[in-house]
Amino acid sequence: MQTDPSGFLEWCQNSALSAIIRHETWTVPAIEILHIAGVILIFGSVLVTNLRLLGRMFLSEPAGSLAADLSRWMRLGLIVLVCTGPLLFLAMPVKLFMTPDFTIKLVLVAIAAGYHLRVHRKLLSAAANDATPDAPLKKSARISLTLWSIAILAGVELGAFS
Amino acid sequence: MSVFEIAQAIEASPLGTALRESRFGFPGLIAVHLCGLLLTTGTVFLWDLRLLGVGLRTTPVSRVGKALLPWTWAGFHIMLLTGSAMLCIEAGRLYPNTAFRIKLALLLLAGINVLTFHTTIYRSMARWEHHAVLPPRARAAGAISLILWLGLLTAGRAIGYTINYGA
Repeated sequence: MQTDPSGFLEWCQNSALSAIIRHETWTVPAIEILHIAGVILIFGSVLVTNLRLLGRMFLSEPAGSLAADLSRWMRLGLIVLVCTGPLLFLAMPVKLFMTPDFTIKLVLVAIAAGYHLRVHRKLLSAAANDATPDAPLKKSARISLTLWSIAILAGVELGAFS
Repeated sequence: MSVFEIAQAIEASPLGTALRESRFGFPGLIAVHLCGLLLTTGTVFLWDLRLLGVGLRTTPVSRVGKALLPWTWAGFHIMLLTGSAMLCIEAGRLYPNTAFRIKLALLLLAGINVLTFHTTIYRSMARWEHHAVLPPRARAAGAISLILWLGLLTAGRAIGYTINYGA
């Protein structure tokens, strides 16, 4: 099924919220900084959780409790992204839609977040009380770290160069 | 010779020119700079949240530091190296840029914050590091660091928005 997105893009561009965001010069940079702060929260918690699972840091702490604590910050980061991302899209819907990098980034983020929510998180909570992560969890940690790193680097590329 | 003239001389120097014309070039430097930024801020945010008493509360502060700070410094060295290279490339245009000046000032303040923390409250850490809620000075160090890093992000981003490539 092929649908024409121009109606949707126009609707975004002409919406009251889009006008508010575009009216002042400081709003887009301010939302961007919040967006970047959310990405940093996610990257930090993903990095530390998965390196712990792989036995590369925080060996003094049980992996389960560390992961549980960091998952709160990861959730906060995801909430920030879900709030700020659409606002940035509203501010420049046509420009973003015409940028192939934007679509690629969106897909990569969806894959990383989907893997986290559907697979990695479940393995983590199942293994919460075990002292040492088993092989499937370690493999999942490697996948999670790789998927998030690729998605975030795509976002960095989009933000800095597109 | 004024600072501005020195900056222009750095930009025109063989090193500045070579870096500007290298194949790796400015986009490559920015990309690596931002990877360093992710490493540093990703770990520093968690460290600040621990000092504030809201994150990793069950882990003693010294262990959080031992696990996270090597990554923080690794990222910082990457940023220092790539940042210096970018400075050589466009020192003359960065010197008059307000966002760049604010960024340098914030960097200095962040350094002072780290130094103050390590020379004062850090010395008595053995007594308080197991507490979920830390002494006010430790919490203040965490809050100040978080604010300064958000400021550094903003100022860094603002350089890209405001730097003058004309003329």
